[in-house]
This record gives sequence, C-alpha cells and structure tokens, in this order.
Amino acid sequence: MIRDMFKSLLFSDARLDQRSHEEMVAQLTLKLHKDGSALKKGELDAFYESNFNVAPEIQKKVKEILTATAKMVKASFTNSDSTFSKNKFNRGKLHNLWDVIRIIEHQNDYKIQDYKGMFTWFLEKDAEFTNKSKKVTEEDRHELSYTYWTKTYNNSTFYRKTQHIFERAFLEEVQELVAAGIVKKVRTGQHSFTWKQKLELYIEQGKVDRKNVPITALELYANPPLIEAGHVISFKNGGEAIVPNGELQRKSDNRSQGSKDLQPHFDYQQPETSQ
Amino acid sequence: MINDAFDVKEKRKSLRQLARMYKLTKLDPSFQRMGGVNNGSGWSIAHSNEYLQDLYKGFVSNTVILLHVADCLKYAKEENDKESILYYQNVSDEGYEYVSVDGNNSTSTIYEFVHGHPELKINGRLLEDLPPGEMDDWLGDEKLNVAILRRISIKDACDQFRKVNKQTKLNDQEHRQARWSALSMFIRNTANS
Repeated sequence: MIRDMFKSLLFSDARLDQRSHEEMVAQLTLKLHKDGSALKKGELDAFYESNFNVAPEIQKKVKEILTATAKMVKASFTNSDSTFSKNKFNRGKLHNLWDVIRIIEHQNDYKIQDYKGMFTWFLEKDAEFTNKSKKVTEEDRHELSYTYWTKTYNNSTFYRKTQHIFERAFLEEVQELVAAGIVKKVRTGQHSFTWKQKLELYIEQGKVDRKNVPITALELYANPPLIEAGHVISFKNGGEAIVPNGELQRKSDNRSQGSKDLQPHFDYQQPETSQ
Repeated sequence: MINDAFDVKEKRKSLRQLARMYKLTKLDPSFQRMGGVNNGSGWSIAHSNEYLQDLYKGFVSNTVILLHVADCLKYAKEENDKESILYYQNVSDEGYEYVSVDGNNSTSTIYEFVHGHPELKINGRLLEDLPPGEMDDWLGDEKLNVAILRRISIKDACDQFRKVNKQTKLNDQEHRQARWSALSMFIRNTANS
C-alpha cells in the first residue's frame, strides 16, 4: 500500500529499486526522531551510523503518516479512469503533506475522516501558497516564498516555515473542516481530568455535588467509578480539562449530561473554551 | 580483499554453471542493491551487452562473491549467533543455496542471455542467431572466479557487501541500507509495505 503510494505520486519502478522512496521514509523518520534536524546526506548518514533503532512511538507515527497518505492517494480518483499525475508532484510537496498530517493528527489531536477531502484541501492550500510565491522577489525568497521552502525541504529553517503556514491555515479553517466531516476532534488523555485534578475539585466543591449531596473521599476510589469528573463547557464545544472547567458528579449525572454544557455552579468555575 | 576468517572457497565456474547457480542465489533487498537485468538499480541493457561482448572476447575477470547458506547456518549455530541463525534458516527455507554479495549484475546478465533474453546480444546477435556449437563450447569453457564465503555472520556479510561495492558506487541510500540494523529494516519494511 505504501510502496504503491510512492509509485502513484512520485517514482518509477526503477527509482523504487534505487531506494528513492526508502530515503524519503528515512528523512521522515529522522524528522520525527530529531525535531529540527536537516534531512541532507550528512544528517541521514549520521542517523544510520548512530542509531541501531528508533523508538516504537516514532515508528508508530511514521507508519500512521504514511498510511494516511496512502489512503489519500487511494481515495483520490475512485470511480474515475484518471490517475494522479506524478509529474506535477515532487518530494518537497510530499514532505509538506506529511507535515500537514502530523500537524492534524499528532499535534492538534484531530483525526482525518475524509481522506480525499483532506488531500484536496492540502492541494488547494499548496496552489494558493504557490501562487502567492510568484510575487516574491529573489531577495525575499528565504522569508516569503513557499515554492522556495518546498524546494529546500531538507533544510529545517525552511520546512519549519512551511509547517507554520500550513498549521495556521488548518487552525483558521478547522471548524469548516469539522463541519464538512473531513476531520474530527479526538479525545485524548489530555482532555480527561487527572487524579490530582479530581482531588482538587473534591476540595473546591466542598465535598458535595451541585445538588448538595455529599461526596465521600472513599467514593472517589471506587472501581468501577461512582464519581466522575465532567466538563462544564463540554469537550465537544471546546471545553478543556482544567479545574475551572471541571466538576465532580455522580456517574449517572455525568453520563446523562452527554455533550451538553453545564451552567457554572461553584465559585471556582470560570470555564473558557480552547477554540 | 576478502578476509580469510570467512573461510573462503574459490572456484572457477563455467558460464553455464553460473547461470544454474543464479537461480539458487538470493538477492536480498534488505542490504543488496536491486541489481540485475530486470531490476531498476542494475545495469542497463547497453551495459549488460557491453559486458557480454567483453566476456566473449575474454576480457573479463571479475569475481562473483556468494555466501553458502548451509555452511553459514552451521557456523551461526556454532557461534550461537541468533540473528544469523534466523536469517540463514529463513533463506534456506525459501529454497536458496547462496546469497549474493557481489557479481549479481554479471550473473544476472549471463543467466538472461543463456535463457534467450530478447535484448541481450553478442556482436549484435541474439543467442538463437549465433552458431550453436560455438556458443555451446563457449558457455561450457569460459569461466569466472567464484568466491564462496562459508563462515560469516549476516552482520559481517553486510559490511563485506559495503566494502566490495565501494568501487561500484552504491547510491547514498543503498549504502545506508546495506547495514544490518533494526533501523534499516524498519525503513525498508515500512517503505515497501
């Protein structure tokens, strides 16, 4: 699936036999292994020389990024006789696409739902940025030209600039992408309350719930839980897992609340959304 | 060039014998370049034809280097080298008797010529158009050196591959991947999945 992706986007069979795609995977792995590393010959040689292996979490992320890319390519021209025109794509653009997937799924906790839609969004942004670059003068190209940054994708100064403009574009349009079903927010550990936060909520609430029913310390330790920490502004509406947005509730109350917001009840509750 | 510690057995093999051995030889992409007539990192048809022409005129003296799988497996067991045991056992289970270290392009060219590849020619003529008796004699009489390594770990075999290919200019990524490590395996397996 991944080899086919490279074949569809960039490389002939001969280039695959010459390991061009493996070099790109090595660059991606190095980028995740050592953030800010250049991706040129010297850095890649040193990466192989000094590492017998890379951490499992890096391997997992590399595979996730490549798999997402393969899904985008596979979804691109279904129900059509056309295929992706590889002479219009290049290595720099593929690195940009990988950065975009990383920004979405690993750095901002969204999951791509519609791979064709996401690939189309990426290509639209690429076209917009490329078009803007036409007006950039030679002396400003380091600072302002997306085309130049893409061409010099193996230089960290420039791939960081590309990452920055794609992340900004994504965050500006994320609500529309969510509404269109292209991405959805993923609930991770960061969106749940920690044990320490639960103990803090217990004290802040005066050891009672909003119905003024006492909560005992023993109940906090129950497994399966009797007491849960819920969001005042729900996760779905952008509420964060921070004490001013939290509240200990009986499990049944928390579950019946679903994704609805609560009115602030306790003095410490000053919820804000993250979006 | 090859360390005697690897228990090297050198023999002269006829072109016909080399063609037979080629089918019993594994070209392992985990550390080898994808050389050979039908692979993208091998010689071009023009290069293969040039080699055949030189071979026919008797100007060729390259050595083919192979690992002998059964002997290397036995050695790995003696050394309790688990990585090598696993590797050689797998290669043996796949039905190969040898692993290629060097000379794959030449043996591939000889094999393809003997089996009537439609673009491989000597003096501009395909095998089927050359005098049969003369060709029969040539394929049986012309010989190349074959060095068979019998006591070598897979890690040392990779190092050996890198050394012997210094002159033939592996490209940068081929050189990096010709290293026995979990990283190189991860990169190869992931990129080709």
